[in-house]
Amino acid sequence: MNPLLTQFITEAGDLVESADENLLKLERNPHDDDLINALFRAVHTIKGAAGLFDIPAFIRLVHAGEDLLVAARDHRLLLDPAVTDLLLEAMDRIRDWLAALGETERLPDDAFEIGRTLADKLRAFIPPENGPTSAIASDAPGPGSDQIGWLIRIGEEQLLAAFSAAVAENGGSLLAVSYVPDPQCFFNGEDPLHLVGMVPDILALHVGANGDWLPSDLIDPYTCNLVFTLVCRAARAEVEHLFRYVPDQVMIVPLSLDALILPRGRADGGPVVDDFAVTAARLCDRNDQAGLVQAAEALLGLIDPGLYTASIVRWITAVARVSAVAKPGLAGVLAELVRSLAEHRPFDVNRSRSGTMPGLPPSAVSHHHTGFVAPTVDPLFLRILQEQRNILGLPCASPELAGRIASVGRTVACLFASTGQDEALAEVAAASDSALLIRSVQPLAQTLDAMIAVHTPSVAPAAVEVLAAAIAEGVTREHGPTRTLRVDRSKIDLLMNLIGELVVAKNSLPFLARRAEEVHGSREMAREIKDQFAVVDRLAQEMQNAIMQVRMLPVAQMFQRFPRLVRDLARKLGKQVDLVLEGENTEADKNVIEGLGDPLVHLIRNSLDHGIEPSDERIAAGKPATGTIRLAACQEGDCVVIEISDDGRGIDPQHMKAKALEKRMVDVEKAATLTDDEAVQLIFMPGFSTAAAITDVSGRGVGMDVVRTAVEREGGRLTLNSRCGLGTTCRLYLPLSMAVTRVMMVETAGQLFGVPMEVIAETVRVPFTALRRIKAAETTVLRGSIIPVLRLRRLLGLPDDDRERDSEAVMVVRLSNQMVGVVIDQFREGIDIILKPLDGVVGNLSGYAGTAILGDGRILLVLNMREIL
Amino acid sequence: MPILYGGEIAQFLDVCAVDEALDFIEWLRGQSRPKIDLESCTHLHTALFQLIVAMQPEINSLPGNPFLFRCLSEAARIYPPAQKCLVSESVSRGGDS
Amino acid sequence: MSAKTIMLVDDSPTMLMSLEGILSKAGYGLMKATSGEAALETAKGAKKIDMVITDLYMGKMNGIQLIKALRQLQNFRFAPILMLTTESQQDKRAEAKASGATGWLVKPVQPTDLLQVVRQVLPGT
Repeated sequence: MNPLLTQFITEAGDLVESADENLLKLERNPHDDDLINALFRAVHTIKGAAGLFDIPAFIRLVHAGEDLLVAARDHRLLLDPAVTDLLLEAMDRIRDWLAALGETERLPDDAFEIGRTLADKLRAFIPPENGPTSAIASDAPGPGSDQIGWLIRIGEEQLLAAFSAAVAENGGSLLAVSYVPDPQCFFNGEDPLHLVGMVPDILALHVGANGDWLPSDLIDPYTCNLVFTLVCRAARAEVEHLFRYVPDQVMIVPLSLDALILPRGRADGGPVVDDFAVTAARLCDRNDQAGLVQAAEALLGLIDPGLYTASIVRWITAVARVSAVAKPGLAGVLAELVRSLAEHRPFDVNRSRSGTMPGLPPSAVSHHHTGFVAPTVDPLFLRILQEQRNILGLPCASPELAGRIASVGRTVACLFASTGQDEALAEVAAASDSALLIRSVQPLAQTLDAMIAVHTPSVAPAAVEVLAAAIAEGVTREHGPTRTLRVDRSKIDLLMNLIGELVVAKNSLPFLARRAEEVHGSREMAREIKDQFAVVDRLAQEMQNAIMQVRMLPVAQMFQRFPRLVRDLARKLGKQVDLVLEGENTEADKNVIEGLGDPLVHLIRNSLDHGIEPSDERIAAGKPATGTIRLAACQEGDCVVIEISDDGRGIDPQHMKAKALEKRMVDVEKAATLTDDEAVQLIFMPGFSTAAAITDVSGRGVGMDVVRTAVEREGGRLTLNSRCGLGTTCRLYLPLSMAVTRVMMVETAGQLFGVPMEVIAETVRVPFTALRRIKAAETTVLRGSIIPVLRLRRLLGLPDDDRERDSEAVMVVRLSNQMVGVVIDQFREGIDIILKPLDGVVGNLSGYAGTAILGDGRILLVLNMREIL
Repeated sequence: MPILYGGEIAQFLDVCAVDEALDFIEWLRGQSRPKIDLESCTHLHTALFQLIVAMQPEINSLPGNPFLFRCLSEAARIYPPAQKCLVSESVSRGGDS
Repeated sequence: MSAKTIMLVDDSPTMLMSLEGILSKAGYGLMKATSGEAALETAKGAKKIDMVITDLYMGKMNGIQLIKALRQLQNFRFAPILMLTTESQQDKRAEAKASGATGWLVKPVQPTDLLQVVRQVLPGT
């Protein structure tokens, strides 16, 4: 399978689990923002990753879930049980789909329909948002977007060339772009020049300083002080996409061809020009463009190129050239150019637009302004103003002072001219004049200060401090990362098997040592082998421990399915139950954890079904209406102990006795002698079921005997305590690890048998005198209590021991809280084995737990003491 | 080493990043007649470009990259030391937004 | 010229794998981190990381906090940093920008978009 899909299935699976878990926690604390965020993040991440695959139904469902959670996160929606049910259902569906993806790499056929139905249900819960939140900025006309006064920053020569190029290559729309990068943009990783370089088909370009350059010793190399102005031929969307990270620093305006015509220069004209104007008007009327070009070029040789009129004439040349070719729409422009010359007034492109000019409505290129309008505060505008004010504040030698005042005055004047603030323009001009007069920046500086004050929106300094504090907090909260590695479990299993084999293989060394001594008579060699064995043994032990550690998983993995189980069951039974999880970080071998799941489910079901009372009953009994089931894990010695306790009604010993009598499991005599605790333990008797009615929760037939058997099959123990009216506690004991079993080898009738260490309480030699025979049964007294004694030879049907002896080797075995002595012939060493279950014909022999291969190749039969006794 | 400083000439090589700006301006400040060679420069960060525009070192050779070539020849045309008066003139007529 | 190194930060291994696939094919060197904390740790130790692409929502330290922290490091003052966002996180983009991000990518990231943006913000490649 595609490794990316495999990765996705694993990851999304984990995220669904965590989402499930958080949903349940949230139901208890619906206002916990951290939980909602964690939940949102999980679903959000699933959606993000799902987007990589072609699974629309899946994405649609997760997307709906995400939107719902956004509403919850923004406190527009409370996750009540109904919403939670739906989200849980969605998680279940996603889980199913992930499984299907894992098997077939595609979603089930019904996924589309199911996904749509479920997504619609989820969406039905999402309240409408308050106000528009996702208005696309680029579609809204921004302040000043109809202004292209800044286009004049580009030199006339370039604009003339752009004009010709735009006409010649007929195609693509013209755009004017003004880009004033943020002075601090380098610290955002930006490179404005590089960005501008990516603009396609630039026809004209000007790169200049934003204001004047500072003296070289004051220039900050890391402050960007450039303005880019350009005309390009490209799709607007494409250019906007390019500048999408800096929308506040750029203006992108569609341009009609005639908007490039920006004559400039000193005023003044003269008779030569007037003569030309008359001639030109006549040539225009006659549509004689060639003649016009000729006349214009002749005039340009006569007049000062720095004059405004010269500029007009240059444009007349350019426009006449192209309108002669193929641009009838430009005739109006040409006429207006000529008219402006004759009337001694500035060229006005609007007067030339008689509807024949294709392109934009006049407002798009309007240069006309009406009085002082308080502008919307444009950050760019403000920054330039501030920048200019700063320049005034810099130290300056007196010879340069006049130049600086003039320069600032001009820049600010241009600024106001471009935004149409004529009153401000006049004010600046006046201040600039008086500053020059008294040779001090003072008047101009004051004026600028006032203007900045008017235009600056109030900024709460508190907000800045909060931000700084947040940053500081974010930095101090850092901590070392946990590095984890995800490994396929089959690889760990293989490693575990190999180390198991190694442990067994090393066990052959003691045999080898004995052979060296007995067969080859080399005691020294035998000792050396034993020394080496000690080293290998230690290493193997350490290695085994290390690998065991790898296999250790927190029981949280198993616990996490219970909140959901308890919730669903409680809702079904109409009971109120809190599940408390404790010791989730307790670790155990993964096999143990996996083997534990089913017994635990039964125990928890029992608690819910039979233990916890309905609320009214609980209140009547003086208990809180909501019952509590506690699931706690801890490690005791080399066991993991899992405790399931409830504060329900407990088990009534009298009821148990009555029930046992009724089912004829005990006789009246025996029942009378039973202590309360013993009566409660009757629950473990096969076929005993106390539920008055069989419910679909606990089901039929899964009695406590079955649960106990299952636990014992995993090598564990199960105990139960109950106090009538107060609750029940079950304790599950399981070995930390089950992969390698430590057995004690015992010799009986010339054969070796293995007995799992965990059932052996102790080994003792009992003198014949200490063995008491009561009828057929033997007993002995061990530390004050009487224990039954059985003989392994008899249990296995082997001939009786006829050796001469005055004491017996007795192995004391613990079985479900009861001690039993087992007489064997001789104790041998303890050994680590890998237990292989019996299979084939012998698989049904219940007395054996399995076999293991010994270091010398012999096969060891491992006894199942519970079955034998 | 994207900028090689040899006496009064600095040679720009390959990709010249923003990190070079501090060294470059220090070098520019220390030279009476700085010259730069941009022929082998494939990328010029804005920070370096703007220092060239602002401090007007003599450009010995322009880069091969057409866009850089265009920007620099434009800047060099507008900002040669001898025509400084033209600068303010162009600003005076240009609008800022 | 040596290959440019990009650090990818995302708590989703699937996302990392997908971005890695696209970028490594295009010849970029890659480093990966599955949390903001780990990324910061890597950033402090690494000699040369030319660019960072980070997810927004991650465990404790989110993408914006990571960007702020990275900008405090000498080596990352000017480095391009992109943030992975979704269509619905428009408001976060401005916040990311203000925190020092160069730009953002919209998930699911198309290979052509990714490479185009990387070329845009990481000059000299």
